[in-house]
Amino acid sequence: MNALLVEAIQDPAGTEIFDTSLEIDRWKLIGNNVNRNFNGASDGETIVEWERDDFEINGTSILKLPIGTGMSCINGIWSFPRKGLYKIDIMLVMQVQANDAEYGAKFKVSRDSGSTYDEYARLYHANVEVDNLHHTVSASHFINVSSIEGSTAVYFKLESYGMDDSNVSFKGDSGDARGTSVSITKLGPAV
Amino acid sequence: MSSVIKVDEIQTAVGGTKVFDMIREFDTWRISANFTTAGGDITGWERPDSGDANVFPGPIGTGLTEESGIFSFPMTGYYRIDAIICFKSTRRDSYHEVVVKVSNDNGSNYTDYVQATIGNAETDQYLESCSMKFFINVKNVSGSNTTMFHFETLSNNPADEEVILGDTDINLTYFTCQRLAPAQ
Repeated sequence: MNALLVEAIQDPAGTEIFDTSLEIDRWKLIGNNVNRNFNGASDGETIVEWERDDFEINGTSILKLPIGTGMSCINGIWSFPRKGLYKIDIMLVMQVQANDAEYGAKFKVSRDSGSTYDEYARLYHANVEVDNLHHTVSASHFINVSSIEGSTAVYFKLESYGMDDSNVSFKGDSGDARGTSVSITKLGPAV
Repeated sequence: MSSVIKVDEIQTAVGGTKVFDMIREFDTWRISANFTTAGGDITGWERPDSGDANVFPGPIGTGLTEESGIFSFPMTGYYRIDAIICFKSTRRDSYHEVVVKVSNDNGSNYTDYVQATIGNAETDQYLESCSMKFFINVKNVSGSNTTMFHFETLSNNPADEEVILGDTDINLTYFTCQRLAPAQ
C-alpha cells in the first residue's frame, strides 16, 4: 500500500490547497413541540432546537458523527471547530395547512461573533389551498471561515420567514425518519 | 514541524490516473433581480457583491465567465453545480419550468440536461425554491469543443404571472460551482 502521512498539501507556490483535518457534521431539527416540529411565532425567529444526527441501525452508527471535532450549536447558533472553506447543505421539510403566499427560512451568517448577521439566502415555499401539504426545499452555500474565535468569529443560523404559528411548521425528526437537517462539510483550508 | 508536501498533482498508485491537482475553483452566482421574460435564457447574473461577499469571497480560483446568461469554465475539470431556482407564480399552470442546457461545441448547439419544475393549482401566489444538482465533465475550455451551459425558462405565459425571483442582496435564485477533480 502506498500511503503518505501529511498534514497539508501545497501547490508549488506554497499555497495550501488541501489539509487532512476532516470536518463533517449533520444536525437535525428536533422541534419545539410534542410533535418534534418547529412552530415559529413570527417572522425572524431563530430556529433553536437541533441535535447532532445519530442515525444507527441495530446499534451500529451509520454516520459516526462528527467526523473531526464537529460543530457547536447553542440556541440555534452554529460555530465552527476550525478555520476552513465549508459547504452548508440545508434541507427544510415543511408542513402547511393554510393558504399562505410565502413562508420559509432565512439563512444568516455573522462575521463578528454574532453581533450582526447578513441574510445570505432565503428558502421559499407557499400553499394556495387550506389543505394539508408537505414539501421540502433545499439550499447549498459556501462559507469561508477565516476566524473561529474573538470578535471576528463566524457563526450562522436559520430563522423562520413569514410563518403562521399554527398552520405552518418545519418538520423535525419524527422517530421514523429525519426531517429538516443541516449538513456541514469542510472542503479545504480557509482562503 | 508540520508535515507539508508541495506537489502539482496526485495520481493513483496503479495506472497513473490523475485524481487530484492543485487547482481550486469555487464560485457562486445569483440573479440580481426578478427575471420576468417569458421564455428564453435567464440573464442578469452577478456574484454576491454586498455584505455577503465577505461570507464567501468568490471566486476562489479564476471563476466562471458569464456573458448574456451563458457560463463557461476557467479550466478543464470535473465540476459539481448546485442550483436553486426560486419560482413565483400567480397563474394556474400545471408546470413552470427551468432547464439547464449544456453545449460541447462552443455554444453552437445545446442539449437539455436538468430541469426544475413547479405547478400552481390556483391563481393565488405560489412560491417554491427548487434545487438542481448536477455534474459537468469539462474537457475543453477553448476552441470548437468548449463546454458551456445556461439556464432557460420555458414559460410562454405572461411574464408577470410566472417569475424567477432574484435579489441583489440575498441569494434567491443562484448556484454554487465546485471543481471536484481533473477532467475525466
